[in-house]
Amino acid sequence: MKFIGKKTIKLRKEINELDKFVFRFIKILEKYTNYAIVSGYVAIILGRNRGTDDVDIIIPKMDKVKINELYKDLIKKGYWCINSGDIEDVYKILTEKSSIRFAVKPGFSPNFEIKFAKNEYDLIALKEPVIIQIGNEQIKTSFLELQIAYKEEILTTNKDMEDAQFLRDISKGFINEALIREYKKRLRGK
Amino acid sequence: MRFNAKEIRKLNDEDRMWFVKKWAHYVRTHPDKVWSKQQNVLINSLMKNAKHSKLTPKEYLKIKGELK
Repeated sequence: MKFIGKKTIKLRKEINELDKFVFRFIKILEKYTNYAIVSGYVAIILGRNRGTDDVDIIIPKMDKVKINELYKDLIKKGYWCINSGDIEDVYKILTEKSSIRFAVKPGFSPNFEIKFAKNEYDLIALKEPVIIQIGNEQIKTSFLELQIAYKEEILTTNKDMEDAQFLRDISKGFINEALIREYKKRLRGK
Repeated sequence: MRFNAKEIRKLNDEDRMWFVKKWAHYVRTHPDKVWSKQQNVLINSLMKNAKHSKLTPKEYLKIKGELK
């Protein structure tokens, strides 16, 4: 694993079925929008030894027409939206600050949990992505400092605290501890 | 030796965190190809098992707190 500057992480790992599942979906998604994968899958792609039933993805706010185009393309490629088969519903769920989930038909796990960016941290993730490269594939995520702070300050379940510890340990010497403290302070509202 | 549930949970959490740190050290000190080969055994088997879930999508969304 190589940390190149602050914005690129290069991996020479063997691809697993979850990675393939993510790369395939991202190729469709990025035709329509910017995105950032956050949370559990980021720890997993960087080596954390655990599974996940969803991959969290933040996208910028989009209008209904664009969401409809994305939705139709996903349906055509064998995905379905677990929440609803009605595009009106899907858009309503997204705009009501909730998330929608897409899975490969007819299953539902794992799935992609997609949310509109809703705060300054989501916007940072979209605006200043960190690229994780594996061979010819790449995904966009947000600064590890922000993900660690969010997990330790907001999410705080055992799983999240373990992910945060794992990310800290594997990126020792490359992450900025002062920045984590700063993000945590801001997340606490101080 | 007697433990109460709280103590058992605490010991379990400590054990899990110990393993997370140990595995992170392994990832840092071994080539990507080596750790990923081991990680993939777990991930690929979980992906295979996910197809056999007994839950319905509705039950899944309920568990996630996204359906009342």
